[in-house]
Amino acid sequence: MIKLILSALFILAGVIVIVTALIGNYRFSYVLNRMQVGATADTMGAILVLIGLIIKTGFNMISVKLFIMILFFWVASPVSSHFIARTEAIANENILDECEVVRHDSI
Amino acid sequence: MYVLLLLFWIILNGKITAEILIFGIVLSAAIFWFMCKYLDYSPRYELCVAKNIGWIIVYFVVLVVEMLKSAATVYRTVYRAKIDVQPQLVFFDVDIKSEFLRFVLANSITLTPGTITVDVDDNHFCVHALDYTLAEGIEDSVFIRLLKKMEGNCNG
Repeated sequence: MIKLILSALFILAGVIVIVTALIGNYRFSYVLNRMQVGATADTMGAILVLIGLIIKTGFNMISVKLFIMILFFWVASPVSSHFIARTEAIANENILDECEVVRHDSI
Repeated sequence: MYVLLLLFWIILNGKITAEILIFGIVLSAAIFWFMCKYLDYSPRYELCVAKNIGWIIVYFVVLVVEMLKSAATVYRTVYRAKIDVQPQLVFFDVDIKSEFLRFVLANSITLTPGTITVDVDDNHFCVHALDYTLAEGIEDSVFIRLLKKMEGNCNG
């Protein structure tokens, strides 16, 4: 019973995170800002749902497979959002209108 | 790494029988040999991982805590009545030699909500932050300190 409640809580939290990301996607106007919020859907949201499912199934082969899915999400999702961000930064000539540039480097 | 490959094979199969185990041992040996020969992998890396296993666990915990903290900030911004964010592009250098650790750092920065690594060129990082508060102290963040400590352990 407590397992069911705990897993339901995690899955609910994940769904709330995904819905928040969806709303945030429409509230921001600039690509990079929208992406910041949108990218959390497949990191935080998917992971919370998967943790809920792991608690639901208990410890067996399926839960280990779900854990591997979490690791895969954590490696793959940043790469995809990085590529979109880099394409935007290269392609948009007026990017300085949208963001303020701060330099801490030596160039 | 060999043990991890074997474990991965067994997990994907879902059960342990004699033939699955034999196939797994042979296949993991083949993949391990391939990695050492063509992918610049060597057992030296395993020594590094073994030395740093405690720090790796600490790193994971810190990563999750940072993710939760900045997720709270970002979602508060989303539900505010009027959206007033000041996005920033932050350029900074890190002096981490290992390519893999720089990849880990870039991925961790992107994984935390509110910051995305836009470009990595050798040790020059370019990070986009949703708001200036999220970018504060990013050039000397806890990730960088932990990774430097790991690298020091590896070489020393």
